[in-house]
Amino acid sequence: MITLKLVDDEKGLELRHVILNGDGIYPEKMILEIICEKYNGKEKIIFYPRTGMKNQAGVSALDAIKILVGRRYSNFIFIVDGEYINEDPRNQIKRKLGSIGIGCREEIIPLEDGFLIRCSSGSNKFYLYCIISGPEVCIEEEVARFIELKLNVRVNIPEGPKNASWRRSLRQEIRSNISRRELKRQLKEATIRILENSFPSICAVLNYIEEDFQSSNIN
Amino acid sequence: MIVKDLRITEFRGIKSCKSPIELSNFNVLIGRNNCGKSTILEALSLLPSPLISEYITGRDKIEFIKNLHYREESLNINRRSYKTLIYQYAGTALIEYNRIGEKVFNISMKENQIIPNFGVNEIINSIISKLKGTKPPKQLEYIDKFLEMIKKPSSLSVLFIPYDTQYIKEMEKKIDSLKEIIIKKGIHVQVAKSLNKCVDDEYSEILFGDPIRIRKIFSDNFTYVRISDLGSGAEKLIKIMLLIESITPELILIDDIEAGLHPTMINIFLKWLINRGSQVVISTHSIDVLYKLTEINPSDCNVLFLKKSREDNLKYDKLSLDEIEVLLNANTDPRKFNF
Repeated sequence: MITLKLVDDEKGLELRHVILNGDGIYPEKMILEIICEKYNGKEKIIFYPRTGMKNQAGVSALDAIKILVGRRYSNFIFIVDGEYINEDPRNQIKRKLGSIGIGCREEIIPLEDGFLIRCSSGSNKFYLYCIISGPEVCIEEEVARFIELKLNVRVNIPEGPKNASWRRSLRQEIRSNISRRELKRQLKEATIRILENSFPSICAVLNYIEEDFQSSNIN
Repeated sequence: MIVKDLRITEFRGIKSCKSPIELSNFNVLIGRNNCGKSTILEALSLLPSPLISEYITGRDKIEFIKNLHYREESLNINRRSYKTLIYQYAGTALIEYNRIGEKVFNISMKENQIIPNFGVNEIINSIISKLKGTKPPKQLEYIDKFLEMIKKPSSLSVLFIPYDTQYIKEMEKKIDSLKEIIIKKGIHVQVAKSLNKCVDDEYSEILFGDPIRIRKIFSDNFTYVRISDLGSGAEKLIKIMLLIESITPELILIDDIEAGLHPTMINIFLKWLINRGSQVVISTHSIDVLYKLTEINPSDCNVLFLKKSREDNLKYDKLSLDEIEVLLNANTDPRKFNF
């Protein structure tokens, strides 16, 4: 049974994982929160210390690991939209980590639509779970798939090259089909099966985390 | 930089410090409510002596701090007792300051006694050891240095702005008494124009008298508005700027700096504070303050994350502005981490 809980304040909790997001907070935070709730999460804490601002940092968000890893944080979940990934995501993320002095200690463990890297920075060892949303461009592609599966409504996918303006068009298409409030309601009502089919990378990583990788197990 | 570090023992809500609190030139204290931010500012505000007058109220600094928390008229407290400032109201509070590399000052506080120790003995011992084996004029040089060092504690100017709207109101009388300096330096015009950058109105200068007023410009006319009738943020900004510009404190302490200020006003205020050249310690809960500081990027600036254990022992972690910027760029809120 999955027992994950998403919090935005770690006070008094035994922290398991910190989320770093390369894309701002909406709708990732809402989706994560609801999936964790669906899994009836209570025990394993996922900490999302989000700001109200929206910085599209892409893989640069990984820079934060260098600051956090020496300060008792040793498990990270990195969520980034596919549009920031220009090559094989494993190579791009490994290279980014290398550029900030973080070494990948062990082979990358592939998950379904995600992967786990065991890393070290100096004497500090940590896990990094990576979720590439989209997987091609952005999490809105997954939201469109969810709408189709849950409501049986086909969102018109815009034509043309998949870039930032394509993403904006897709977002507008989604909004014309469903409001934010209604999307939240539908997500809450959805079955785990629909959520796992719609957001496979997030669910795959959360499932893997459940297998109880803990920093104390890193040798 | 005036104060290099300080250590607090049994003062207000802090039982002890895990390590001395190291200060930079510009310091931002952040942390949860009741973690000790104001206590650190209050401890610093007692420099150079708890027994000299506070700028605005004219009370001894120690009385001023005591009165911030326990209004004499509202509580049955012995006026001469300091026990309300002592951790759990009994024993001895101790604050040790390390200035410019030498521990030259500490304050110990018992229920009915304040003992400021200017560290004269330490200075004398250090000078005597240096005098041994030296000849004039080197000896005279050391004696001059000695005289300068024992003079310093009483000449240090420290301004503490607590989070207290009444204190801001009470500033008016003091500011009026400084009007000659303010007008001579042209501060009355500079401050009015600074305000224009962050409000919708236009002002041209501040005029003294009872009450202090500000000239508000309309498209074809002007009028005078009492400063105390402005919004509380504008009133606070004007008064603090006028006061600091005229008394030029070497150490500026501001509690909850963002209180009542729009983000644009915070930006103006921070830029102005940084350009003062004084050592500054501020406390905040505002992410706007952190964002603005990363944009302004002053040199020698650190953010201190304070955390108090259940046993009231204070510890802290220090992050540079570059590190804060990285966390903000990663869409994470630095205030939420338990460093």
